[in-house]
Amino acid sequence: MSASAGYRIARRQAIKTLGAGAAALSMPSILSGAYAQTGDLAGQTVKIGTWGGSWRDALEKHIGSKLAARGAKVEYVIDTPSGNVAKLVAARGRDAPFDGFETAPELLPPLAKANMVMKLDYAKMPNSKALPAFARGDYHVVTGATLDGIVYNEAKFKELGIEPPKHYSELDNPKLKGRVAFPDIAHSQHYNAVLGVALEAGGDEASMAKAIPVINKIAPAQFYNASVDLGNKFSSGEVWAAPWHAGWAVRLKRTGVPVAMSYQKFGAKFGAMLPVYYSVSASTKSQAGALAFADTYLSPDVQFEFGKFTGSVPMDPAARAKMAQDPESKGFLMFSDAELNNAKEVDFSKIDLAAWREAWTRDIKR
Amino acid sequence: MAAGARRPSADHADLASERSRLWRLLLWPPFVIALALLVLPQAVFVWMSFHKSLGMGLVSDFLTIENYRRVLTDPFYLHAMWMTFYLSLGATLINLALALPTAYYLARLRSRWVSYFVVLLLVSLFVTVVIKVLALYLVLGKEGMINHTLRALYLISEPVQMLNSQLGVLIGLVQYTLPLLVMLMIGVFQTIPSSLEDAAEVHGATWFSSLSRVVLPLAWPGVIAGSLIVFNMNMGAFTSAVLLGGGRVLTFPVLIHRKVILDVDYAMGATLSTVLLVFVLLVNLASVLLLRERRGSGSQRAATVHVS
Amino acid sequence: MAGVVFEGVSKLFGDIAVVRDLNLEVRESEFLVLLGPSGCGKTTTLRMVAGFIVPSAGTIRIGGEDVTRLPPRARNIGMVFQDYALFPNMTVAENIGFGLRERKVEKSALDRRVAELLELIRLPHLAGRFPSELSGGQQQRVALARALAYSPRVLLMDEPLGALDLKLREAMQIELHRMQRELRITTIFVTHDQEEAMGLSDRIVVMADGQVQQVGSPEDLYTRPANPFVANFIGKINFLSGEVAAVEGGRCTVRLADQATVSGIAQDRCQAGQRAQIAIRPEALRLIEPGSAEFANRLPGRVKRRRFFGNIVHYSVATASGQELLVESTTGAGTVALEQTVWIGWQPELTLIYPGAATAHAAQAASPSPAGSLA
Repeated sequence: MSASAGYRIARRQAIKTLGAGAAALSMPSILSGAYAQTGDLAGQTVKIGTWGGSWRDALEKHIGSKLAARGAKVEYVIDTPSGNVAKLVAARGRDAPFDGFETAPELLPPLAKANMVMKLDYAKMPNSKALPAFARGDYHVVTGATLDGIVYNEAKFKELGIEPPKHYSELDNPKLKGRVAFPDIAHSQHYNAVLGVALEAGGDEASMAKAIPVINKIAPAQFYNASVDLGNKFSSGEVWAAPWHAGWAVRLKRTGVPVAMSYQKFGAKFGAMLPVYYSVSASTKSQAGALAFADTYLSPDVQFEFGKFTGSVPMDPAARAKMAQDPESKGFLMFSDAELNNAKEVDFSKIDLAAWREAWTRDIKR
Repeated sequence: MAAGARRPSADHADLASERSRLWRLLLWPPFVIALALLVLPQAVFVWMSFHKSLGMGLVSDFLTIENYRRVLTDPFYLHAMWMTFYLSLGATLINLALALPTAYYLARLRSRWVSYFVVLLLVSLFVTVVIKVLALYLVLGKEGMINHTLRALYLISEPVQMLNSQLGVLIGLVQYTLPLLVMLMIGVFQTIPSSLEDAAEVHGATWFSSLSRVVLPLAWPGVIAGSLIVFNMNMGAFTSAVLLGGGRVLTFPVLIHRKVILDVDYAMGATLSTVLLVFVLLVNLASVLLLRERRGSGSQRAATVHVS
Repeated sequence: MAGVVFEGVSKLFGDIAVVRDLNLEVRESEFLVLLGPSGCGKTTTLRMVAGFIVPSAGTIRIGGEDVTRLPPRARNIGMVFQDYALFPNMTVAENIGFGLRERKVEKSALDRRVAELLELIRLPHLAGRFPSELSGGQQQRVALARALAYSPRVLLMDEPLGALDLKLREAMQIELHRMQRELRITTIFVTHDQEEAMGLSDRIVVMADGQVQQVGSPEDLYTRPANPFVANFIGKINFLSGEVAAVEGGRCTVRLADQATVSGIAQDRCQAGQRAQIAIRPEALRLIEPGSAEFANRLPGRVKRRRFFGNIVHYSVATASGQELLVESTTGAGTVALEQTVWIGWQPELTLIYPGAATAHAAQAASPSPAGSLA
């Protein structure tokens, strides 16, 4: 019938338009991956779980390229450390989504217990000899550390007549209303910041909940999940202060954002340190590649370059000494053994993590 | 075209049914793939939700409904569900208000540019949400274009907080699903011959009456179907909630994500996602039933959404 | 009831004139057909009456009222669309009552009128059906009832029978004719089918290229086509061409390429030496004895094809100059074998002569095969 012919034509028209769109979308994807065909790691694909953004870029620039020269193909699995741990757990230890991965102190113990990470063979990582003893764990090696405190917009603070924050609780300043960001629970800087607040409120690792009323009083405009995102907001002037780590202050300053770093007292200690762990999946098919990645990571040159680029503190003493002379990093980071020993490191064994996550989800005013 | 002259002969009919059987065979592979990728994991998830979590992604051997009891009696989760629902519904309604006139106009526009425009819409669908959200910050942020303009005009002294809030999530959801809804609605309106509107008009209908008595009733099933697609997408939207809510809006998908990723509590994560799934299914079912109630036997004559 | 008047109406789409300077009067109660090939401007003309298209120039009056810029709903006209455009979401009765409801007619009066129309179209048993449950012919009748429900001043029909098969179409033509005569409603009917136009209309307007070629009764158009285009478009016709040899009152004589001469009625002022088109209906031609002097016009030829149609027979006869002429002869006039040499004769009174250079249409009409207009 002709009445339905009208519909048919219209439908054909609709399908035609959709088809044209689909065709427009089937654009070729660009694959890259130039790597040497010879070398001691020839033919190996090494997958590294790590953060995204400039951190990954620095890894590729200083380590990935060197491994590629030895014949390996390096790929990156980008996520937060907890996100990557979730991937490892989901794979149930078989067919690990990555060979080596960067992780954090609170995440590692259950993985070690579940045999999802392997004991590190330090004989295969000659560069690890120079590291301080605490950097060499059974299941992890510390490749560097971020120094946590408050990153703030120095120009804004001056304009508003606010002193550099000596305490986390000072972030409740009404002049900062709507301009403070706080690390959300999935973010690496979360626990240092919360413990800092808890300590100021008379609590400690065992009584983290004491931080909650203070954070509610600060009423952060946002709980950030990605440093890249927060960096953009510091640049645009959307955010003026946030508990964060010095590395981002260094990186932002480098691009001309007027930020400064202030460290807070953590009880008797000053400033907080977040060691960056590197571990190897128990089911890796490229143990040699994963360890070679770590060893390259720990070489003095890479430690310096990487530390300088990301604004983290190198573990290798020579690299640290060299970086202490670097004008860009001065004023943001602490380098001496004494300072580092005096920086707070969260004792995760004392925190009831499940309870804290519940409290964070339910009791923070949103 | 004379329909009678083109009626296929008996031979043709046999051939046609043979061909349609072939086509039906071709439907099997996608069905199997869909089953493997969608239904099976979902089934595993539902199965998990009836077990106790042992941590690290492991669950107990015995069955229990404890997880459901906990979720369904916890005001925190119920409130999160309510919030997820009204944000999704709100975004869907706003999108309808924006998409219907736009789609109608485009569907009736006799211009070759319409095709290009639809392609553009389609392309915009595939822009990463992260990029879209960044763009929203540039526009809606405290230091964004709108606040700057308002301040420059002395309309406000303090910047208006539009993001990092439920409003932000709402805006994100609207932005997330609007292009799709416009596309779906263009399809719906294109299946309504414009001669019907001519007929309404020439027989005395005003523009409003032609819309309300002819176009909208015919578009209605398509509008409902499209709205449901968009509503369902909103209910499951994760990225906009996280990024534009600034960690301050804990919708159901965010809570599920945290249960799975942070707590590595698969049982509870599965329970939450099953509750969300059932809730969304119920909303869909209710809408379809409501629609059937309203339209009675006339429903099959109306235009439908073509998701191709 | 009211007539429709076009005064200098033109419509341009961009640079293209779809309708050019149309002057036409549709009389009250008349059944007028706009006839022409696709793209001739007939549908645009109809849609201008409906109000879907606003003319670029000129005035349209319905019953004396200038409606040029009135919206369709204010014109009080009925229209039947090519695809019927029945509302799929409404029953037959609701469809028919649509215009009445829009006019806020009281419920009982509306129901009465709908019942009346259902009687008129002889479908009272289908009142509760939906359009998709009807056959094409039934849909067509519902569309007609819907257009007539509120007694419009004018009824417009846009190729309404085009979608029906042949038998149904003929039946609908008869029914349409009956209803139009009964209701005496001014009707403008658009079609490209000349047989349909001949069967239905009081008058036909033949259009081509946005311009009226001729207006007249079916008989007028058939017997006195104003130009070769109309001659070719209405019915079957043969064309010959040559040069005017002599002029004598309303008659003139044309010399063909092979020096044979043909005389006939000049349709326009003739001058000796001018090119001219000769048009002869197939039924005017006769196969005659070689020596017969019964007809003033005679040409020898050879029979190429013969087609038998029951009461009539068609012969294709090739003339000396190579042109083929279609001869329609009644059965029983004796049979002629293929390839046989014959003489064709006809009366000058039935010979139409169009002087002047062939127009685009004439050129098309005078294509080598005279059977161009054969179905």
